[in-house]
Amino acid sequence: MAVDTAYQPPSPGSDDVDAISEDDRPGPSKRKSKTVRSREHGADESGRQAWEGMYKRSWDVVQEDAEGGLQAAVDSLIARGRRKRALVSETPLRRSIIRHLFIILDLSESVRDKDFRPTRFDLLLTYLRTYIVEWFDQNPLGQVGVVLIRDRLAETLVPMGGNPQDILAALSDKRKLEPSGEASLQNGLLMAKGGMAHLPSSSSLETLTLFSSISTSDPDGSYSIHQLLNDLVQARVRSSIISLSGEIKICRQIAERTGGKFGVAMDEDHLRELMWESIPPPAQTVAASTMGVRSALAAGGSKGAVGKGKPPPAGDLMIMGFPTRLPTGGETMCVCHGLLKKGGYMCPRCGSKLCDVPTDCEVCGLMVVSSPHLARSFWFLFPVANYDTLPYDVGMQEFGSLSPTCSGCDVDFPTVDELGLNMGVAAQADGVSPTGRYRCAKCKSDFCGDCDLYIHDTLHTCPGCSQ
Amino acid sequence: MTTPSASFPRSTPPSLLILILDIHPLSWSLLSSIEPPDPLDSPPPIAPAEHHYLLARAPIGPITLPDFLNVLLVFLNSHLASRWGNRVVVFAASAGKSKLLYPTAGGYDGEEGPKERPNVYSPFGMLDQGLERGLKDMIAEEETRMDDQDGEGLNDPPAIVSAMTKALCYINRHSPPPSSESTAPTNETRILVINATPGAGSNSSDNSSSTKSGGGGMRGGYVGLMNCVFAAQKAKIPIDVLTLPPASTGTEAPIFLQQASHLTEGVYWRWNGRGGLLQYLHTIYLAPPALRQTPFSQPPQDAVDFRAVCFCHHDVVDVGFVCSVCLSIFCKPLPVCQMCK
Repeated sequence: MAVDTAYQPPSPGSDDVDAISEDDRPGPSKRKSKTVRSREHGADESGRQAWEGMYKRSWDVVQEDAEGGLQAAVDSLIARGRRKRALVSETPLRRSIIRHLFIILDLSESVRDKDFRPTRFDLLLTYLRTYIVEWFDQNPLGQVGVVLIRDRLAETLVPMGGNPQDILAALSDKRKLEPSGEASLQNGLLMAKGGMAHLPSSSSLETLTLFSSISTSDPDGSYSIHQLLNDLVQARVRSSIISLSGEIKICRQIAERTGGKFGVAMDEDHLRELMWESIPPPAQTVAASTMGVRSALAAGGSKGAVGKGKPPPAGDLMIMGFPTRLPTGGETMCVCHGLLKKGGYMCPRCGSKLCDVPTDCEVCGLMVVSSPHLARSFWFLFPVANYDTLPYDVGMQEFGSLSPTCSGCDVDFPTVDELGLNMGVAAQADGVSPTGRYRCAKCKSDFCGDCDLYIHDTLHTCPGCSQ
Repeated sequence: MTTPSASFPRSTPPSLLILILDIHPLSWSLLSSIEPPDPLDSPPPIAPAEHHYLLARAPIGPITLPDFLNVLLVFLNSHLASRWGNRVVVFAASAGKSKLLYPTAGGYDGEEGPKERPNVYSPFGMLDQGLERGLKDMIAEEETRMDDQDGEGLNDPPAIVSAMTKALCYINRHSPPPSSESTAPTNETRILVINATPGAGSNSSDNSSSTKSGGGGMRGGYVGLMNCVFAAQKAKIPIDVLTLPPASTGTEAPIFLQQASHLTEGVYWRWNGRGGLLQYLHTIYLAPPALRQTPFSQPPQDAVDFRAVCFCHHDVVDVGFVCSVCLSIFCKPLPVCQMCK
């Protein structure tokens, strides 16, 4: 205990001096983030540090229009920023949708540092709560567990589960999350790996470590963190690490070799950005074997083969049941807890009542999911193609035949006269339609910028094509 | 705010009601020819309570679109009247096409605007005339379109999904979601779907003819509808559904619309065919969502069928084969997933 209390984490400033060498710059600059964002901080493209770079005179970019107003310029800047977000790559990716994630949370003394406001500890917990909600929103079939590392030990705060409420409840109980001692990365990863050992290889196994210390104090013995790294690679556990203090070599190594990401958070917003990058399902790099049909059939034929505890057979097609939700009338016995409960779901194969989905049916072993759970991932499968911008001259030629309003929200498009006025500003914007119209290549309907963004960001269905 | 059961807001923000009206000609011709079922078919309850008895005695009768519109206009007017600032937007979905009916986008293109009638509250008058006009225009358009295509598109299912996407775009444009959680409550928005097509989004998969009309409608529709549902869920917009074809016609419930209302915490209700539509509309759908549990109450929600549509034959399945990578649903085991190969 004396050691722990005496331990004072070095301030990040002094650490940075020896940590940063020629090629060990803070993380995010190395791997370029997918979404191009204007970043005022961090190393710039030429490889210099942010403070060495030229100051960008952002006001020079803005141009006034004929009357000296800035509204048009501001609008086009906003539109440009939005377009950049909207233009996603259209290359088809094989994404892992059934994900299993262990969040390894560093609760060593160092999380009491106040370089992140209010403290690293409070910030991490606040972010984690929203992160969990968002994560389950995008990965409805995923499961999350939380492992804490403190006092050189690892403990499972929440075992792997699919209920965000459990995790949120555990994360809101601060008495159980008291930081103390030093962190052992090896123990944390080992615990997480052990917790996922029973899972099939068809799902994506991941860990996300939020590492606040600048060193890891691992157990003495024959099994070192390097051997653990090899084991992680073998078990295909994608380990991402976000460091709050500085770059640590072993962390980068682990992340790179297991196919995860490593990043150093520079400030509160950057930490959030790094965490949120891990929410969308990762592209699957390893092609799964296609031997699965037989095992899926076997599972379908022999009831109870996929009993509780045993993993479903690894393979491409899984057999799943879509239940009926019972009305909340009287109380009936459920098969999962043996308790009288109202409501619930009925297994389509054996007709037993389950409390909650997704789950494995206790009686027949069928994987019961509600179809909306699956449907949440459909937009990955049927993405809306990016809309084309309508060039100015084309817009002029066909003007008579164009629909006067947006096919989505029925707002009026700018007329010829209005277009002429704003010509100077609108034409230079990249990716922004000079006519204010974005056209679906399939159904030839025109949409306004707002709808374009909404359709591609949230709705994922083209109103024109669906009719 | 003393007890949770009795707590409800003293006042609600102005509310925007987006109505999606299914005007599919075939569905309405079906609705207007409902025949009362054979009384021998359904034995009366053993010891009927008085209201049961009355309800069972009310005849099951047909309803026509003009009749229903009368009812609907009263309902929409009472929505306008129930709070200052309430607004109504009406979309119509016909066979394979959807359109914004009210408010008319480009104003009145004709020579005369809406006639101001001195004895009518002007928002009522504007709504009544605008809706009537929009509906007449659309029906005329549809008629010429059907004539041009020799009734080709008549068997298309109603474009409810398209209307819903447009409605969501409209909401997004006119009342965008608040940027942060802390801001004051903005306008309340809800979508009411009046569905006249039996088993829209569902079909009995055994015969092929129904696959064409019902299952084909969900070709892109199932995925589209689900996407709409999630977008609405994100924006906290309840989708209420009123299904008109009564159960006595022997048609299936539209399970996907039912799922939609369940997922967005809206109200799903199926008309029993025994009249009283105005009363039902008022008691079930008029109250803003914040007041629905208390002091008002909702009809008990039926069992919700969470079946899905398979991607290969567009059949409704309850046990399916799901690709472990991309979660596509198939009704038969395949060696390689068709969607992600």
